[in-house]
Amino acid sequence: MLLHVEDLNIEFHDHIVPETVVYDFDLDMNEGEIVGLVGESGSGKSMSALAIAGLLSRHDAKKRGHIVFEGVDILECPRETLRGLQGDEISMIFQEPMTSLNPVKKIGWQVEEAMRIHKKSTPEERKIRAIEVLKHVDLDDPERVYNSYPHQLSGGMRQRVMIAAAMINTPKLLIADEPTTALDVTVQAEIVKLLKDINKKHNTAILFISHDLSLVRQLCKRVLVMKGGYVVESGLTEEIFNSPREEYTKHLIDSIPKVVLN
Amino acid sequence: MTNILKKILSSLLTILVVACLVFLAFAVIPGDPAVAKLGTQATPDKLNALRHEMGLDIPLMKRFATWIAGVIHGDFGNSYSYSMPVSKLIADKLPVTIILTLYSFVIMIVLSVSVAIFAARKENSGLDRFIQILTQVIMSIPPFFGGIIITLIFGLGLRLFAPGGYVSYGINMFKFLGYMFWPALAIALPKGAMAFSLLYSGLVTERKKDYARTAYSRGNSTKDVFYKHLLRNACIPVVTFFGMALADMIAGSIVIEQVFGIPGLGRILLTSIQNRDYPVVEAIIVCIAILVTVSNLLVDVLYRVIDPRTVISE
Amino acid sequence: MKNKFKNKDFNLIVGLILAAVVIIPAVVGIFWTPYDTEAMSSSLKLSGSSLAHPMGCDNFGRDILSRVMSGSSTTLLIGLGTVLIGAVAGTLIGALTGYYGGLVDDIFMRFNDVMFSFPSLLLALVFVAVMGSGRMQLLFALGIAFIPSYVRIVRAEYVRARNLDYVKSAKLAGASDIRVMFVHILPNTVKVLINSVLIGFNNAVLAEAGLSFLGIGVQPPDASLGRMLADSQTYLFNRPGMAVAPGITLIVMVLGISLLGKSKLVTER
Repeated sequence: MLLHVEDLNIEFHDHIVPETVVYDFDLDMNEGEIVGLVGESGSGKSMSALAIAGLLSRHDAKKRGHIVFEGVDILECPRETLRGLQGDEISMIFQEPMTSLNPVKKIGWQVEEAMRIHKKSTPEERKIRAIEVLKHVDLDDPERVYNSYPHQLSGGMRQRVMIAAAMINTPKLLIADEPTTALDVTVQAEIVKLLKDINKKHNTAILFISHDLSLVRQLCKRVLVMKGGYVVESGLTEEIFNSPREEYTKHLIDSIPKVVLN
Repeated sequence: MTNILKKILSSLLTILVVACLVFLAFAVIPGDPAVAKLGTQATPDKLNALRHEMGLDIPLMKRFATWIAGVIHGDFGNSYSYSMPVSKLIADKLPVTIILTLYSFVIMIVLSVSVAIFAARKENSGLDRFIQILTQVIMSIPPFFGGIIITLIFGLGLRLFAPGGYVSYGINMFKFLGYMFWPALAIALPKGAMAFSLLYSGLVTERKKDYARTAYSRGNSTKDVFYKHLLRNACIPVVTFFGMALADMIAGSIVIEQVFGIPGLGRILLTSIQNRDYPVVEAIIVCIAILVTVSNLLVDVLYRVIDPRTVISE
Repeated sequence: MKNKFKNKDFNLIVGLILAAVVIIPAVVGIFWTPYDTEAMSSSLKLSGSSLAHPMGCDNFGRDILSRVMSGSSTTLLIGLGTVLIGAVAGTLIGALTGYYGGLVDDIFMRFNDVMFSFPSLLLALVFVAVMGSGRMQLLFALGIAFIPSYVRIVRAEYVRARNLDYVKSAKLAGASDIRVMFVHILPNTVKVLINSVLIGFNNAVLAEAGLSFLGIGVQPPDASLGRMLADSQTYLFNRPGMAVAPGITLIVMVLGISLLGKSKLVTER
């Protein structure tokens, strides 16, 4: 088992009354598996994802339960151990490719960053590797992209750069938090195909978070449906699509435009 | 590149305009430098002789043309009261003021950056609030009084330096820099406190942005996130302030030199103003104008270096 | 900066208290001081604080409290006068150039930018060099030196306002340019103007003290905080109080005003 999440509860204390956003979240993922996490905004899916990536370290967020990644409990291990995993074994890409890259640093520097932090390497080795991953995410002219700044690239290109940066150390788990939401429909399909290829090639497990069920259906074998902080339904994607048990899931499926379904 | 060239040209024009204004201002004001030198009791013959010697009997426009031509070659004429070329008079004093200014600037940057990051990492803690209040007070300290406090505490109290014990850089560079640290600190503190509060609010804003989260997701430590990612972004809106601070520090140096007994441009500027020794005053003002324009130019370059987006959007 | 105190306007309260602590004695000092500021006494030379002389006496045996009061009133009046000259002239120039634009505006702004890039203390120093020292000269030197900063701010507001709907509709309704400029637009610039007036006051206070410290500002026997600080340096070791009294007065005045500038009253409207 690659990832085992048990009884995860997340509470926020930045208001007068503590606000719980995730209740009793359970998830098991094997190596090389793609799992979908769907729900409307505010359903707690992004919070769960951030907690798994170890990025919910805000002092006002209280987390209970266990997130065990390859035998290490992310909620309890020392910060150094967690940092050792982040960007190396666990990587994450985000919803907004326009703002998720540092605007004043060159793409090359940012793609190489995780390698610089985690692997002993020379600048030359890093550059070779960076160009290689940029090529893998289907960017034309990776050399030029390497020397560009974020503002010189389109949204789709930036998301590819984010994926390249996340994949530079070939992590075992890639968490993709609504990676296509901010992109055009045609680019969305390309990114989904790219994630599929990555999964096949490197056996990287992917936790794919989306509110778009049609994309989830294309990509994920298993899916969890979240609503109001609870996982309301989980199982094989096809089963859930064909016979949803929850009214909420039915509603989500019905809201998919028919053209895409057919 | 053409943009930079344009900036340089307009800077040169600025300096020229300042030079003209300064010369004309001192030429048209009432008061005869010859009388100022010899006193009101002097005989008309002696006065006329001195006026001739000073070149004051030449028509204004011709005098102006000669002066400007000289300035372009670095010749500012002769001092009225010291009877020697102005350029020679200020040659060894200019570096002192420049070094003091740059020294203060470096201290300001180092202090404001490190304290801003320290406080921003502890945002909303008691220590953070204490630093906020402290910087608010430091901002209000006039540099010359700051100099007096420093003399009182570190000089007379803790005996970390000997007040008035200036050592020329020509004699001992190490001792020179050791002594200059204190006046530089006095200049840097209030400006550094202002830079701190600008940087601090920048860092706190940047920290909430998406790319900061990306940086954490790659395994950066908080310290690295601040220094390698947030700092440069937080600096972008502060660069303009840095430029103005650098120019202000030239003025600050001239004042602080009086507190610490440093023989820079300040003392000679003041005595020349009091003696109505206009060639010296004019020369120093032109020198300061050059320093101010150069520092503005540097800030412009710095802006382009820090924010890659400015280059493209030209 | 984020305000840490949610309901109470901390900046306003502390700012008012600090400003009052200095400004009230300064206003009193215009008309009355406990002792004659110029009365010397050889027996009281450099004496420490006592019931009769709470802040002690200076190197001529003059009462420091009286001199601090009189010095702060000079500083206060010069600060106010400077702000008045700068703000009025700056608003006029900024309004005209910003409203009409064109070539005159270009030339004026070019010149203004050159002036602005110069530290105002140095600018004032040049004016003093031209006009001579003394209270009135200092007032004008500082007033003129600070005009560019007001021009910049006011002009920017007018350039912005020029194309706004309320200005266009006022023009359509037949209002004259002068009316549009000073009846319609001016009230909308008050908020930014208040803030820059407070900052400008502080800068003027610091510049006045700086020039007087250098000996080219307020001339003796007029008392001035900057001059007192300069005089205190010789006796720093024996009588640090001579430096501390005028120094703290300056800090409290500047701190009080700058806190007022950060209060919600000024920043939110």
